[in-house]
Amino acid sequence: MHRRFAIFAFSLLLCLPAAAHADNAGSYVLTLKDGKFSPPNLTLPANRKVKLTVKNESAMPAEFESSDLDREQVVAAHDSITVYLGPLDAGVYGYFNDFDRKVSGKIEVK
Amino acid sequence: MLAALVIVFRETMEAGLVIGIVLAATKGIAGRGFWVGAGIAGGVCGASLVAAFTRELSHALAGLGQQIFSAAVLALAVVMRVGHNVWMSRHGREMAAKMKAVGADVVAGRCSFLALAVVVGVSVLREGSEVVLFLYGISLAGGNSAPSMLTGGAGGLALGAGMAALLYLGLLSIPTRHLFKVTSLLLALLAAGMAAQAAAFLQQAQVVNVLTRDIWNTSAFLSQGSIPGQALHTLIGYTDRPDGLQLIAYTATLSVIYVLMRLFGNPVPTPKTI
Repeated sequence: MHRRFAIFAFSLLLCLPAAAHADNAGSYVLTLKDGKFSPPNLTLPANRKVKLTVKNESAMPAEFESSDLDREQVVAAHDSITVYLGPLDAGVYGYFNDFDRKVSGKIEVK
Repeated sequence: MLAALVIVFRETMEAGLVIGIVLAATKGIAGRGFWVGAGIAGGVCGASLVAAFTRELSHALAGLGQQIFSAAVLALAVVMRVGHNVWMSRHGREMAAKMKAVGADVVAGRCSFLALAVVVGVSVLREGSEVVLFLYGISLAGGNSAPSMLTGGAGGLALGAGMAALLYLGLLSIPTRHLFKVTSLLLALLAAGMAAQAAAFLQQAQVVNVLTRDIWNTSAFLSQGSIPGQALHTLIGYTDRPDGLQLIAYTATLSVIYVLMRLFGNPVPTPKTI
C-alpha cells in the first residue's frame, strides 16, 4: 500500500513541468476607470500565452473576476495587477468587477 | 446597500460554512470554543494584514503573489484537515462514547484542535481579506453612500454568521453516533475541494500548466457564481468547469484521506478488564 502510494505521488511530481516563462507572451492592458473597463472589447490572440495588465485608476479597490477565464484577482485602488492567460481557445470571454458586478466587459479571442 | 450586503455575504458565507462544520465536528468537547475562537481571531488579524498589503502581494513574485499565496494557504489547510480527519477516525468513537462525561481527552486532542483552528483561520483569512479591503475602500472613498454601504456590509456579515449557525444546528440534529462520520466526510470533501482550488491557483499563476482543458462545463446548469453554486463549491468543492489537474487534486486528496484512515484509523478495540 505504502509503496504504491509513493509511486503514485512520484509520478504526479514527474508530471509537473518547469515553471512557465512569460517573457515571450504578448502584453495587453485593461483599464478600470469611472466605472468602466476600457477597451470594453479587448481582442487577444488565440492559442498563445498572454500577459494582461489590469489597471485600476479608480479610488475603490476592485476584483477582476471571470468565470469564463477562471480568474479572480484583487486590485487595490490606483494600482495594477498582472493576469497570465492562455493559451486560450477562440471565443468570447466575459469578466466583471466582483466588488461592483454591473461593471463588466468582454474579451474576444481570435 | 443591497450590493454591499450581497458582496460581504458571498465572502463570509464560505468561512461561515467551514466554521459551522468545525463546530459540529467538535461537539461536546471541552475547549473547542477557545480553539475555534482563536482560529477566527487569527483569521481576522491575518485578513487585515493581507488587505493592508494587497499592493505588495499583487506585485510580489512577478505579479503572481496573490495566486501563490492563496495556493500555499489552501495547501496548509488541506494538510491540517487531512491530519484532523485521520485523528477523528481514530478517536471519534471514544469521544462519542465519552460525550456525557465532563469533556473528552483534550490533551490527546490538542494537536488536532490546533489543526482545526488553522483550518478555521485560513478560511476566515482568505474570504475576510476581501471583505476588509472592500469595506475599507468604501469608508476611504467616503461620500453619501458610505454609511448605507457599511450597514449593508454589516448585514452581510450577520447573514454569513446566520449560515454558520443554520448549518451547525442542522448537523447537530444528526444523532451523536452518526455525527462524527458525517462531519469526517464533510471535512474530507472540504479538503478535496480546497486541494482542487489550490491546483487552480497554481494553474492561474502558470507555475503548473498541465491538463488545463476543462473536463466538463455545467455552468449553464448550476453556475459557480450563483449563491447555491458557491455554497456547494465550499461544501463539496463543486466546480462548474474543472480542468484535469483540479480533478486529479480532488480525487487524490480523497484517496489519501481514505488510505490514511484505513492505515491509522479504526484501531482494534483494546480489551478492557472489567
